[in-house]
Amino acid sequence: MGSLSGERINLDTNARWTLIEVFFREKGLVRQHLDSYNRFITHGIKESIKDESIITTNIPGLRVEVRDIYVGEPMVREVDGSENRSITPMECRLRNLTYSAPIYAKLVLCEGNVCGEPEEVVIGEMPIMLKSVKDRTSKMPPDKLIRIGEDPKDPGGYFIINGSERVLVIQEDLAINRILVDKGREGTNITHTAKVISATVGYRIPIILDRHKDGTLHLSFPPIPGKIPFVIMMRALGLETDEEIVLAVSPDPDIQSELLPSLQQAQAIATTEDALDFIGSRVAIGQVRESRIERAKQLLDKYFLPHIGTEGTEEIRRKKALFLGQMACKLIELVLGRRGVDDKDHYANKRLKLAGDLLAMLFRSAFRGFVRDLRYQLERSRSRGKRVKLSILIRSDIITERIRHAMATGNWVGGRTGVSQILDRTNWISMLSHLRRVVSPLSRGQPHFEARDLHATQWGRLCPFETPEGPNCGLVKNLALMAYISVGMDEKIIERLLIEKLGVMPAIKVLEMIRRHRIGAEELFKYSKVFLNGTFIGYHRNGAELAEKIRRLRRKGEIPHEVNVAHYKTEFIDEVYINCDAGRIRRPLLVLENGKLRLTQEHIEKLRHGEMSFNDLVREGVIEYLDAEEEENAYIALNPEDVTPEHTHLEIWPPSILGIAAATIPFAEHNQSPRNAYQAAMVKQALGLYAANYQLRMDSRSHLLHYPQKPLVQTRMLDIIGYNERPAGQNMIVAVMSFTGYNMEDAIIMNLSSVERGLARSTFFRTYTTEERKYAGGLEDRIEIPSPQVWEYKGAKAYELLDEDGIVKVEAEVKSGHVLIGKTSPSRFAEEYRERGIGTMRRKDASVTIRHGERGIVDSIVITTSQEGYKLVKVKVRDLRVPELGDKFASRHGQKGVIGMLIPQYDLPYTAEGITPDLIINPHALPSRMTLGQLMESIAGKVAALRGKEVDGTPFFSEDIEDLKKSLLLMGYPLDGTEPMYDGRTGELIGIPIFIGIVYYQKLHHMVADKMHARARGPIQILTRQPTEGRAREGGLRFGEMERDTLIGHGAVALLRERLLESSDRTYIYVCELCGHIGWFNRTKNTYECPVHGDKGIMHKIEVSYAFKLLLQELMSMLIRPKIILGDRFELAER
Amino acid sequence: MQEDSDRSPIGDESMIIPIRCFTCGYPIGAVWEEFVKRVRAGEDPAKVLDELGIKRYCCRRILISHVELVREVMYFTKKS
Amino acid sequence: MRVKVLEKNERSIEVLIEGISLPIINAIRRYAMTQVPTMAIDEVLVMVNTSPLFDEILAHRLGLIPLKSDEALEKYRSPEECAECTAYARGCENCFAYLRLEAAAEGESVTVYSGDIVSDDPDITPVYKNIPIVTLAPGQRLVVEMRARLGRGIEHIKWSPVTVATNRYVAKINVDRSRCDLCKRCIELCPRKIFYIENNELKVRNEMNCILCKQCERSCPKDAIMLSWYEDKYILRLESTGVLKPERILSESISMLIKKLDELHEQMNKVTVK
Repeated sequence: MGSLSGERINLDTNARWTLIEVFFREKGLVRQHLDSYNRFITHGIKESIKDESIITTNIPGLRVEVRDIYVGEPMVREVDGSENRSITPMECRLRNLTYSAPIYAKLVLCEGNVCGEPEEVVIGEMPIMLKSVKDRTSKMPPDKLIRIGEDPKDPGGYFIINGSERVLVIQEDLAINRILVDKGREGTNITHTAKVISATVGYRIPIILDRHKDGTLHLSFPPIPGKIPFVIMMRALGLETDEEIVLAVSPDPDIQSELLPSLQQAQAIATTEDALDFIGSRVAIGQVRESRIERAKQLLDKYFLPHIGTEGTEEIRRKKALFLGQMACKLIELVLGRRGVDDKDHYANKRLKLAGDLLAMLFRSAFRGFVRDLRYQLERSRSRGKRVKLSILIRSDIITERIRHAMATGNWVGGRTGVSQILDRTNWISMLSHLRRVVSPLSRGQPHFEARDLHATQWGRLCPFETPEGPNCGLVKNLALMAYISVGMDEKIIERLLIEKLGVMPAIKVLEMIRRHRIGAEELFKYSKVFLNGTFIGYHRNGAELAEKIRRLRRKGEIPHEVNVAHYKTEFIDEVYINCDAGRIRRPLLVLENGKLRLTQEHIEKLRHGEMSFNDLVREGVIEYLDAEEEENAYIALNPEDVTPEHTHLEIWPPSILGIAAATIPFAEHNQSPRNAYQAAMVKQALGLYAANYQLRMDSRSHLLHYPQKPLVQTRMLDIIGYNERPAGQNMIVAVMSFTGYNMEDAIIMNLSSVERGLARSTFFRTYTTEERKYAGGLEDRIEIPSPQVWEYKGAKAYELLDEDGIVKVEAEVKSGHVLIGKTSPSRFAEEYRERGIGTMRRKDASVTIRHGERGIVDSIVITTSQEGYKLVKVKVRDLRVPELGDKFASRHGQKGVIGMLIPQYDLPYTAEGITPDLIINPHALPSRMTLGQLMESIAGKVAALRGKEVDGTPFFSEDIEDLKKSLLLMGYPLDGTEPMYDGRTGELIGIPIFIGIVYYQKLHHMVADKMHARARGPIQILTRQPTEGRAREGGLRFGEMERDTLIGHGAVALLRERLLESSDRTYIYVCELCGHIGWFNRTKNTYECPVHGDKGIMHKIEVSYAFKLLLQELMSMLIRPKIILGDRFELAER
Repeated sequence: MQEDSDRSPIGDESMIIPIRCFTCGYPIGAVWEEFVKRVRAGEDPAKVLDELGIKRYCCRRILISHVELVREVMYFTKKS
Repeated sequence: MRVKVLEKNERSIEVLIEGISLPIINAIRRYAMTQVPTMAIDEVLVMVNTSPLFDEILAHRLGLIPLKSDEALEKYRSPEECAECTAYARGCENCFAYLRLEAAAEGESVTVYSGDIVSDDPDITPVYKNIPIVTLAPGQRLVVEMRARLGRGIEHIKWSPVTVATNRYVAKINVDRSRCDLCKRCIELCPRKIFYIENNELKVRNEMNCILCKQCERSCPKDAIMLSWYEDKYILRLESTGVLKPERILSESISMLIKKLDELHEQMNKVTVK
């Protein structure tokens, strides 16, 4: 392992780990969301209204100016109008409130030149992200947090909307404003294509440049139907002559000659006017030339490449032409084979949208709605001739409701769904992982194989294991531990810096110089093109030097560390890409200079003593963040011993390529990779302690493991994640053997005695909620013990546990059918009754009963008022869950299984010491799955227990398994982890030593108690009269097509008839022999009647399936006349 | 792993220790407090366990891997 | 038959038994676990519980606390054998011991220990006084009444008087000295340090210590080690949870077995005589 350079880098594992610890102590695990939200609240919200800061009306001169906008302190407005400023997150959760703060705006009403006094008004409410700058709890000490009912370790990063915790899931998107070239699809007229999504605040417009088979270039973009020849577009943008156009594309004659077909094609249209007219004629059909030109100009200014600018100046149009020229250049380079197609899945071409960005989108659209309303109100109020007063006209609920509705349903502006999700509180890990989830908008219906594949640029950014199986595989991802997402900064500053300080020549100037022959085209070949956030801004004499210089300045702290730079150079291409936009996943790396670390031992010491922070290191240039683009220029050593002088960076901590869930796996590098993926999915289903304040919380369903333990075999990351304080599993003594055979096919045998002593016990909580609503007309719900007179009265027995107030008593044992909250509602048709003058209208029972098949003990009750002022009752029921046959367990290596048998201690095999296993897994679970990690964990767990200290099983940096085996031997156990065992039933020695050790097992939330179901008789559907479906509805077990086939195959006619007819939806209908119609029995006349023949019909009673009767009637409703022809069941033989 | 003394003011006492070892039934609860006290005083956990007579790895794992969460959780109970 | 006590202390007993077949010894082992009656809390009446633990967790914990049962075996009857208690719910003096636990935390948090349990019968008290039951935060209170009764391990493991009960084989190790080339592999791999070399010969000491893990046999490249065991020599080991003395458990176990056999004997006589 000696290094080739001769000089060894002195950086041990613990020093590297110190960096990680400092990183997380500073940032926590949900920093991305918090930073993004904070930036939105402090800056973004102000920026997002810039282009609407003056609200004009159609009354001349009357306008409202928005001078400022800011978010206040968290607050709730109660029904009585009072402002509750001491609101806590816990109160919001319990009372189904939204944790939000008012948005204030300083508005000035102006008329002509006269402006009124600025008025501060509330224009809406903004949900507050927990632990963000606006959340008071972010500044509270732990004891204060405990007093207000918050778990002091809660990371925040989510919202509370109508009482439920919601996450804005990170959305992955294709990077905007970057030119991506690709080959055309086969069988089309298009050979090559260049695409760019131009986006700026509020706009998002894709522009596509295609090269047809004949060599011409065509442009298409949504506002204009059809394709526009490239050259015409260039002319429309102000480059009239062919020379100008060609130069805007490239000074290279090879590339220029590729433009010939396009130029020829557009010969007829030679002036800007003509070109604009050509474009205008596509949209403003049948209008005069002037207005066509005007319309085209407008279109180009506003919708064509809006990220360059939307003002219609000559310069901006020129810049747009230049950008288009670059698109053509890149396209032709691809045609000439000078570059390859762009990789859409490269992470340099992806951007992430976080909570702040998503809220900004939402707020902008909500604000627009608000402005529209205000404008309307102003106009109406003015037209009525009243004095206009702003505070009366403002309707703050528009913004409030728009935002709240989107956040409560997840339906975002732009038609995206599932953006806001209910925070997964199964356990600690599932919550953290949910806060770091990244979803791609690609449809799950299509294959998109490449998009789902793990891409090399995801290294250190997204977890290679943590992705679901099935349709969302590879589309739903999770951030790696050290991944950090750029917040973005103003690119104008960087552009100015590049041009003024770093010698970048602005593109327009260069073009001008070429035209005037100040620089020769050949000279320009040697220059590098410089792109800022995907947009071509100019040339630099030496790209490599520029990139180097930027990096140097960044390390010195003279350029913000958010700026990343990449230099691409090949035989033909010489481009510098500089990025400073938001949403790039970046990761920290140690900087190497000439094979030497900038990090010193001194730094480490200072970090350890808290005299220095991670940010200080970044500021000093010891550590820098790289985005996927800059990483293309980096040569990163994995470990210090690999470093050579060529290396530019050193990985801080290789295991940090993993995400939160995968970081729980010890010895992960010894497992077959899908097993790690399975564990990453399963760890989120494990029961544990999900939050310290679980007794106060009223989650609709949750679980709690009684005696959670921290894993004996640790990974270092567990400490950082906080898993050791919120564990979700237990260390079990696991033997690998067949024993009775009740563990075959992935079942597990569990020790009944251990279970009786409390192993894997858990409690299940379910909260039942109801609200005492008030309706129009003075009608209201009543929470009470319903009187026997109410509709749908459930019988006295059901209400026996209710207290006088109509709510169950705490600690009462409740079973299926019991009412938890007695409630009566006014009849749904009360209004009708009153109209008809029926005096006695009965109230309806609307009580909340225990779910079918569930039971438990009433744990706690909350009686409060909701935001609307209704009485709100929440009842939490708990149920003890002792492990039983069929409960699901899993180790941390994707080895899951259900209990197949519970065997008492005296029957189980025991070692010489007398130790019996808690759990026996089948040896067949191992060879094909190759989860060596589990075997290693087993040995390591045993060592840990014996030596009294946990084993470090961190992937890539774990304790040596050979050393562990040696210490096992020293402590008096066979080194291979086996032990001779005796059969507890006979006392005989089992022929072969058994592999036994300690493995961390998780109890998963799939338990038989929630699943087992059977029915003899029960409810039926109203429409078809067939049995209902599903356990929750006490449904029947489907006797399906294939089951039907078997009975047919056996000729079991009677059974078939019984199953499908008699025990299902048998019914009797009366059919008229004469016409074949279904008739009926007239009770008053006591006759059978036919719809055609009246009482003259000859009616027969027929046994049919109700579904068949329904079919006949449905046919009739479609004007088809089904006719049933009757015959005798038995025919008398003729003699 | 050594117990940090500078954790949050709620303390790191630990759900409460099981009364018995799940696997063998040894009344492990009886030695917990002494174990924690001595380990926190800086003694080697293995030595303490040996001296307390906890020999089997099934019992040892309970003491070593136990996380005392009651002290964190107990402040959040509903007021009666 | 020969019996030799190898180890005996407060907690455990280890005896070497020669001349009895394995099934009988295993039966004694299993009887010790499942048939020797002991006292344990079986019913808990929760009056006040504002502690962080739920009633059912609390009751489960109380049930697992070992109670001194030395006197109980004479003093109490098993409810299922008691004529008065077959109606069960009532429970008579002879079957149930009553205990009570009361605790409250005022200014500071308080840990409730098994020692805080007050028993009506001084013979039926927790074996260990320092088992934490629950920790109470300031303002929390706990009042429970408990009934303990005799029970057997077969019903619930809390009544089992032993933690581990094993019987194991005694190893017989044969070294073929003609084959052994003193490669020391067996010495390296033996977890019990059975082998040693003396005078250029591989020797064996403390055979009784061997756990028959077969590491030596399997690792020997010359097949010089033969591992086997004595057919009629077994080591029985019982470790008490503290509720009974280990030797008492052993004798109770044997007498329970004898009782069962006597009963069987009687029944058989009846059946065969008929």
